[in-house]
Amino acid sequence: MSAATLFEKIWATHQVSGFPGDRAALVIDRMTLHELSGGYALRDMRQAGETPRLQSYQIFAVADHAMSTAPDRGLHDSVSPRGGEMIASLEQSCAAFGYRYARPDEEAHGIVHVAGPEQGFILPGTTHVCGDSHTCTVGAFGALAFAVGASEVSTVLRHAALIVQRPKSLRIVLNGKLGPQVFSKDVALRILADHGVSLALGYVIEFAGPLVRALSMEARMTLCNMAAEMGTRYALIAPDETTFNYLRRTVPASLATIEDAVIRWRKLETDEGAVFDREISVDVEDLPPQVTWGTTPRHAVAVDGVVPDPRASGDAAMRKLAQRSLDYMRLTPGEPIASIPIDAAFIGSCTNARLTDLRAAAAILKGRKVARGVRAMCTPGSMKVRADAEAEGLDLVFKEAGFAWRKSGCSNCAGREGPIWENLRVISSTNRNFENRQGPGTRTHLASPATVAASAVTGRITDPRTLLAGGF
Amino acid sequence: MPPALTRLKAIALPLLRDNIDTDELIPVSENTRVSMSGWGDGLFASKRYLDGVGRTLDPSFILNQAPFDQAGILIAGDNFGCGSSRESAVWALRDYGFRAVVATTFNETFQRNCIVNGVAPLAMSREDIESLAADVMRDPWREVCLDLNSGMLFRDGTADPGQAFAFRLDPFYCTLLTTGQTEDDLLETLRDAIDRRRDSLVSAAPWLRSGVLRKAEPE
Ligand code: SF4
Repeated sequence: MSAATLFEKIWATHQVSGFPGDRAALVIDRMTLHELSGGYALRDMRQAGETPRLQSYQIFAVADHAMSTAPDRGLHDSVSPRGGEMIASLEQSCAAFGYRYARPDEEAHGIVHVAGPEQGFILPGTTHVCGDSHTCTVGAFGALAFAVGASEVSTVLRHAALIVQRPKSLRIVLNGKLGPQVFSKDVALRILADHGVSLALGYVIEFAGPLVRALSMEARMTLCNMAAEMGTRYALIAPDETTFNYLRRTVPASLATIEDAVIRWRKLETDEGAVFDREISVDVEDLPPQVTWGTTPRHAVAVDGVVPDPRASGDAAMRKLAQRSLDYMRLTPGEPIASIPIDAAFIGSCTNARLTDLRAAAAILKGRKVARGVRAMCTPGSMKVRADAEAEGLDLVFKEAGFAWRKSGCSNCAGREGPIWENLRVISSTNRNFENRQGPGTRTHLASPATVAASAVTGRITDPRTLLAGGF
Repeated sequence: MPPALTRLKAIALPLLRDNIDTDELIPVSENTRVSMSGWGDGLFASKRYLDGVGRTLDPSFILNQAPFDQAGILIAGDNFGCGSSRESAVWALRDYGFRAVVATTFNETFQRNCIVNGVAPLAMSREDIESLAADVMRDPWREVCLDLNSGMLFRDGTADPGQAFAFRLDPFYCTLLTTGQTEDDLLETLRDAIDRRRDSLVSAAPWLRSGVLRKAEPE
C-alpha cells in the first residue's frame, strides 16, 4: 500500500460509493446531538412515525446550548425563549428512540464537545458528526469529526451515512515549545492572525509536529476547536500514547478490548512520505499570549502589543473591516492592548472550559480578587469538569476571587444567559468575537483562560506572565 | 423536498461585505422557533429592526428599502455564511424569499445547508460581483436573471452576451438543485451497501459498539 494520511485511511474505510465532483457516501459511525440542531430532526422523525437507523450505541445527546447554567437549575431550565421546550423535546425524543440523553444533573452533562470525549464516546478512526460547527474539536482523537446542518442530522439518522465532498489536505506542523502562560489557544489565535479565517477553506487540517505531540488531549481539543475559525469543518490529530491513555480511562469497554483497539489505532497515523496538498509550519518558540482586538478571530495580537492601525491592513476590504471592527469595539489604533479596561470576564465554552483550563485560571486567581466592578463568571465545560475541579478545591479559588461558579453548558459563549453583558467589554476564553455574539453590543476579546483570569484580577487586559512567573 | 430551481428572475440585493456570518443572518435571539419553517422575519433581525422583537423596521437598512425588500437574490463578498453551522441562517433566507446568493466564496457547511434547502450558492469573481452590484444600484428595479444549466447570470433585457456573468456551482449541487433530488434519495439507493460496510466495520472493531454508559444509580 502506498503511503496514506490519517485522513485518507479513515476515508477509505468508510467510503461506500463515489459520486461526481470528488464526493463519496461515507458510513457515519457516531453522532452527538444537542437540543438545537438535533431536536428538530428527532421531532420531525417522531412526528412522521419514522424509525432512525442509528442505533443506541451510536448516539450521545445532551442539551447544552439553551440549558441554564444557574447553580440551582432544574432539568429543563433555560434563559432562551422556548429553550425549555427544546430541551424537553430532545429528552423525550431520546427516550422514545432509546438514545442516551445526559440529563443536566448528571456528570455526563456538558457542552457536547466536552462531554462526548469525557464519556469515552469519541474513538480514533471513526466518522463522527454533530449539528454544530465546533464538532472538529474532537478530531483531536483522530476521529473524522465534522459539522453538519440540521437537515443532515436527519439524513444521518435515516441512512447512517452522508454524502461528503472530499476535502484537500493541509498539514500544519507546530514546532517549538510554549513559554510560561502560553497555551494552545494562543497558538490557534496566532495562526489565525497570520493566515486568516479562510486558511483551511475546503481543506482537512492535520495538526502535527513536536509541539502537538507534547500537548495534553485537552490542549489538543482547544487547537482543533479553533480550526473551525480557520474555515474548515475538519481537524485531525493522529492518536498516540497521550490519546490512548485518555481512552483507557474513559471508554466504557473492557481493558482487553481497549488494548486490541490500541493496536489498531496505532496504525492510523499518517505514513511517512504521505502527501498533503498544502503544508505550513509554525514556530511557537517565542510566542507571547494573544488577545483579539476586533470582531473576527483573526484580529489577534500579542498581549503586549498595541491596537493595530487599520490603514496598515492588507487590501481595501480588510482595511474597511478593521475600521468597522474598531468602531464596534470602541478602540483607537496605537492603544496598548494591556491597558484596555474590561467590564466582564468569562471562562467557559468548548474551547477552554476543561479541567486544565480551570487549573490555569485558578493558578492566577489564587489569593487574588477580581477587580472592582468586573463581573466574572466560570461555566465549567461539563458537570464532570465541575466535580473534578471541586475535588481539587478550584471552585473555592474561583468563588473567593469573586467569580460566579456556574453549572455546565454553552452559556454566554453565544449570549445564552440573556443580555447580561449588553454593551459591555468582555474578555472571554471562547472562540468567536463576532458582533453581538455574546450579547447585544457586547465587545468580546478572545484569550486563553490564564489571560482572562489575569485580566479579571486587574480589570484591564493583562499579560498573565506579569502576575505569575513560572511555567505550566 | 425543495422545489426544483433552474431559472430565476428576481430583484437583487447588494450587500457587498465580506464575512457575513450566520449570527448576522439569524441572531441567536431569533433561534426560538421549534420547527424548520417560518423563519423569514428573523433574517438580519439585529440590523433590520429598530427594536428587535418590536419589529419596527429600520428604514436605513437596505433590506427595508424598495425594491430590495422584494429581493430574491443576495449579492455579497467573501466567506459568506461563516460562523455557526446553524441551518436556520438558510431557513431565514429561504423563508424571506431568497433562492440564490452570489458571493466570491462560501463557508462549506453553509453551502451544503443551502443545497439541502433549495437555495443556490453561486460563486463569482470579485470583479464581476462588484460590477453586477454597481449595475444593480444604478437600476435596482431591473431584475437579475440566472440560469443554472448554462451557469450564467445577466440583467433582465440584456441581449448582449458580453453583459452576462459566469458563476461557478458544483455540478453535483447543480444537479440536485435543478432536479429537486436530495442526498437522501441517493443514499436510499445505497442502503444495502451502507449496511454491509457498517457491519464489517463493527465486526472488525467490536469496541465501536461501546457507546456511552447510562447513569448508574436508579432514576
Ligand atoms: S460552547 Fe460556544 S462554540 Fe461551543 S458548542 Fe457551545 S455555543 Fe458553540
